[in-house]
Amino acid sequence: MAAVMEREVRTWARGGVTELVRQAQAGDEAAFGALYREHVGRVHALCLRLAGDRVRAEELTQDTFVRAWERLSTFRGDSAFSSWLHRLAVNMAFNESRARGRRMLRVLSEGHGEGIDGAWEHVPGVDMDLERAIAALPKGARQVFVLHDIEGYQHDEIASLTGIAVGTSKAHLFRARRLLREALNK
Amino acid sequence: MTCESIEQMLDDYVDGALDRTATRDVEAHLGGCGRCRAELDAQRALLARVADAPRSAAPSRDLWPEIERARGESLARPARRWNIGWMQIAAAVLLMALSSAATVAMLRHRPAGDVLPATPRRAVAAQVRLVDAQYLPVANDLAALLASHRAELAPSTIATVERSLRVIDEAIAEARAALASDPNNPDLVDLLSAGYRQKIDLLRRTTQLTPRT
Amino acid sequence: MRLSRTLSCSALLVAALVSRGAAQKQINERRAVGARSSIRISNLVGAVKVTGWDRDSIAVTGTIADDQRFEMGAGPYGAKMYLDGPSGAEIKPATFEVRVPSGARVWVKTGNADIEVSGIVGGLDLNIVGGRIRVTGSPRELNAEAMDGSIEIEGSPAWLRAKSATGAITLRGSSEDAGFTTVSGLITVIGARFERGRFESVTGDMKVSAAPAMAGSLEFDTHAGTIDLKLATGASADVDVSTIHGTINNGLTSQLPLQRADGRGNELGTRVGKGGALVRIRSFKGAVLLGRQ
Repeated sequence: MAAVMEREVRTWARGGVTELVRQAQAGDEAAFGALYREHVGRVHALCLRLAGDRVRAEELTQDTFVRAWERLSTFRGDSAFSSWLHRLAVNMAFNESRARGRRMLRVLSEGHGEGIDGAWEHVPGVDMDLERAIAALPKGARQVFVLHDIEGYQHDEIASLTGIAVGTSKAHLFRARRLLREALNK
Repeated sequence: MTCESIEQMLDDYVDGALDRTATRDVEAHLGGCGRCRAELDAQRALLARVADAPRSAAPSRDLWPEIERARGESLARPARRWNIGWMQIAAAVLLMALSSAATVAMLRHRPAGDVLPATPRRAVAAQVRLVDAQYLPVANDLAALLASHRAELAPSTIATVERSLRVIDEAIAEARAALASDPNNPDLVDLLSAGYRQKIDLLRRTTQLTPRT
Repeated sequence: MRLSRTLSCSALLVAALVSRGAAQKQINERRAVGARSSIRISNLVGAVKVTGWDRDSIAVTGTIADDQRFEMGAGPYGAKMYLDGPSGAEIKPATFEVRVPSGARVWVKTGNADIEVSGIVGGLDLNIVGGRIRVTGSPRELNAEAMDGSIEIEGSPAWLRAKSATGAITLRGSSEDAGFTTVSGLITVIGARFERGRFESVTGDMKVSAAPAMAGSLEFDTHAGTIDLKLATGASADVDVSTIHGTINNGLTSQLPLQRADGRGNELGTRVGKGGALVRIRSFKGAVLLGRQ
């Protein structure tokens, strides 16, 4: 059921090159601005959960959109634009040696939870206990959990995106779910 | 099958990733094992909680200026001009009008018109205030947009839209009245949200109609 | 007052129109396009029929009135075409048929006229105000929207979103991820299998006979519509129903609906078969009827 709901979240936008994307691809800055406004919430939520840290999440989000803008012409509508954007964000999150302008993307480290409170505070429907528990997970488990249970990727996709083995991905997920249940039942 | 081996398979089972044989085995075991059933329920409860987690969170500040700056050089060439039709004007006005954080956050949570996940069963009264705070400005802005373009629509279309809006508004009013006497009912919050969603979806779709239709 | 539209394509070609007498013009156009092109069709004066074929080209035929205008452009991205007539004039029927590669993504918009599509496996985005949308076949994605028009789907789009304010929506087929939304229109689903189905109405009734997939979900939200759900024989689900004023009639199991502790509303939680799939129903005052096919 969870996988199905995640798939719902991932397939909300139909694949294909919408008018807005086409305009942006043609160089229309306002169109890309509109795409940014439409998608930044979801990209930022993904980055926040992957990074476990508010400042890094904002950097990751920015870098994702800059990258998306640079590589917009490579988007051909094989998937939904949001899926493409999310893959970009995940790639950015897992690639440690990317230099973007004057800033180096820092290695993602364990979050301690306090850093994210402010970021989730104003989001309607947020379950702070859950978000803190997720942020407190060990890095590998957290990232697989976020990708699988929140973003809806399958284990083989996670394996190819992150470079870990499918078995490792499953083990991370098993551990993450168990740790979360323990943390939330306290 | 032992409880230990079932436990290893539960993740895949819950994700619908087991083949038919394995599924049968798991279900056969679950049929007679309360402990594993409890495990399964706990797993599902966690995933249900996760399913309700918001998929969208606006950053605390606007990142656009920095994104623009980082992209600055490539914008030296002039952007190609596209003819702006009525629909694009409407969309632009809509985006401008909905600049408050609450409404933008709500729109980002889901694309306009698609379904929102159910409200978690906590802080219900607070949820109602949030629902009102998010939806009402959007609904009002869209209604105003529609009013300003009304003359461009065919009378029969206006009639359909207004009839439907009346139906929706009645439903919203009934949900609110029920909430007034039963303020801690999360199902009522869901129903109220559903009414607002329908209203916004209808208004949005109407603003996207081509003139004269 | 109409705004003029400039087609944004690499080669704008105005269709050659052959006069056949005072009142009519024939359209007969053919262009090469890629197998997965984007095709955009806007017909503000009449119905549109789209058929998928396995050629890498698009063929447009039709008969339009003398004072109606047809424009078409094609390029590497696909094609755009536009049919319009003077405003206020009585709409003379414009028959308009387009054959496109079956893998194309097709966007169609009419005013109050039918859209009929068959043989498309790519994507469809169909918009009418009134009239009827009819889709036969199984596009990968189908988005259909109407105001008071009806939507009929005979096939299994993997991804489906159908919306009508007052018109009826009918699906005969299945879907992996489907959403149905009406205000007062009737939603009918016959014999469908869903991974995920979402059904929403304000006052529209719903008659759904379906089978949720094992880890699937069916969610129903209505204010006052009657929800008549028949699960396929052998379907297993965990069913969770809650109403504020509506009655719940459980023909699936022997479990009786309960009145809530504080007397406000009715609820039913029951497992059908081995459970697994989730059926969740929320109704304000519409009746809920559960049964087997």
